[in-house]
Amino acid sequence: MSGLVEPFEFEFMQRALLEITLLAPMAGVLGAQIVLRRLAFFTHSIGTAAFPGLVMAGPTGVPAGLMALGAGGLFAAGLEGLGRVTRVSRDVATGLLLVGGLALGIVLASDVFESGSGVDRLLFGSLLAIGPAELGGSAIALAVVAIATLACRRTWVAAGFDPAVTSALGLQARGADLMLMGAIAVAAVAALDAVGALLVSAILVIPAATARLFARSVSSLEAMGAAIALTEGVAGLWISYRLDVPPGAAIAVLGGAAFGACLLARGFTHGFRNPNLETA
Amino acid sequence: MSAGNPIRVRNLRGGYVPGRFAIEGIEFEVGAGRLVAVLGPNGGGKTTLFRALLGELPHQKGDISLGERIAYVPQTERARLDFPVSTMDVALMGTYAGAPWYRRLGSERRGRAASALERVGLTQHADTQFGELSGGQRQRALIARALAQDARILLLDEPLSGLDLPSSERVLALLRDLRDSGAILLVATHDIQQSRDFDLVLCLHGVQVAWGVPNEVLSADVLARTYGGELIPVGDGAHAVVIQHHSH
Repeated sequence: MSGLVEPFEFEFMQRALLEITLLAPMAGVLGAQIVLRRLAFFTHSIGTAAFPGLVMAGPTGVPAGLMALGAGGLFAAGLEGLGRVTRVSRDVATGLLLVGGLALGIVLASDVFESGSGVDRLLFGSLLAIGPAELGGSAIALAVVAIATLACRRTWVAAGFDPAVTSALGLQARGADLMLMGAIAVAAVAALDAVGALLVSAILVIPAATARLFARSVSSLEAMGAAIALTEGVAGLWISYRLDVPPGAAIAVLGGAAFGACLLARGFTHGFRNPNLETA
Repeated sequence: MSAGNPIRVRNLRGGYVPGRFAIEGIEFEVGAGRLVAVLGPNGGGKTTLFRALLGELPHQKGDISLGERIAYVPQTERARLDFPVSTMDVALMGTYAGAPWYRRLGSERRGRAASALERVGLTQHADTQFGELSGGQRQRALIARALAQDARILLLDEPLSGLDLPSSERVLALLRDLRDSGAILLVATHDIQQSRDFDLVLCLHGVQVAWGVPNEVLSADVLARTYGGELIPVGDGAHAVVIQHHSH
């Protein structure tokens, strides 16, 4: 038993544990919407789009969170603009901007700024190096997401279920959708310190996708998603410490394995061709 | 026009692009407790008319006066069958508007949703997942959501489409029951034969082709002008079949 607890006696592990605890509720409530509204690709792209902002944060002295949010905002504006002025689908526009953001970040990191091995940390996170500032940022992000969820959750659910009727129900779908995109961007930026620009989905998508296999209500999806994110985060952290592997990657691999195992278990008990198992 | 009628539409025209009208010359009024068939081909303006009545049409002119709260019941295919909501959750969505965001839905709203489910005969399915209901039950659940909005005017977009005969009869019986309680129901449909049992018929083909009671309105000439080449006369010419073109 002491072998299980012993890693968490270190202060850096306790901070990492606290960070996971702050991220898990966001993974629950937003992950549910991401999976139900089919926003997984958008979420992954927001994380990647933040990469050039993170690269520029160090040399320019601007807080990384602000730079990442700014880059995410530019991404969202670009996505909206491409959708309005061209005939490309939203998925294609997202892919274009994702590749652009990643390439720009790499160019900035290799040819413009001396970032050295920092690129690895930006892309894959550094949960073990979380400090008080990052924890504070995640706490603020959690507060923002909580307020957005309280204000808009009913509209998110109604619009996700039947988008054509949202305004006829007297709900403000457009404003609520913008709040959802903004909340996802805030949560993705908060998760960057833990899992990096490329593995944001490990926190915000995979746990909810796993929970979706079993959940029969939006509330249970949210609760199960949060519990799975917390469990996978803690387990990934422990594996990372024991096996000396990057924590972000450990959490992502664990999440993928858990999803696969649950998919198989669900398939054997309920069949593999259940249309209600559609996820993002 | 009678000032007392809950629906009064005068010289309505409108569409999605400025200056290009998808519907024109729409003029009718409906009193309480009427079941109205809105007949027309695909693209004939049925959905556009509904959007205008809901105040959602981007460009519209003319006068619309609604004396009662209005609600829209879409085709069940538009709703997500894989969405994890129960029948009660769907009915509750009709009570979301105006609910304080910072606290749980109150007992009055929950009671309204429960009453709506009882009205459509789905009380025993309140906890059933929406995606696990039959087609007819899903249609009734969406009607319950509209009733939970406290609406007395219901716009139904092809509510009988894709239903088998027993389910279709059950939904029609519900619509008549609602009509008898004083509600106004505008039902977009392709079924000419079924519309003969409605109280009133509005025929659309971009413009308003005809309006009135079925026996007077549904002549071979009106149907030909409503459906054009999509209509095939059957037998003595008093009946006809509509060829439906579906775009995917």
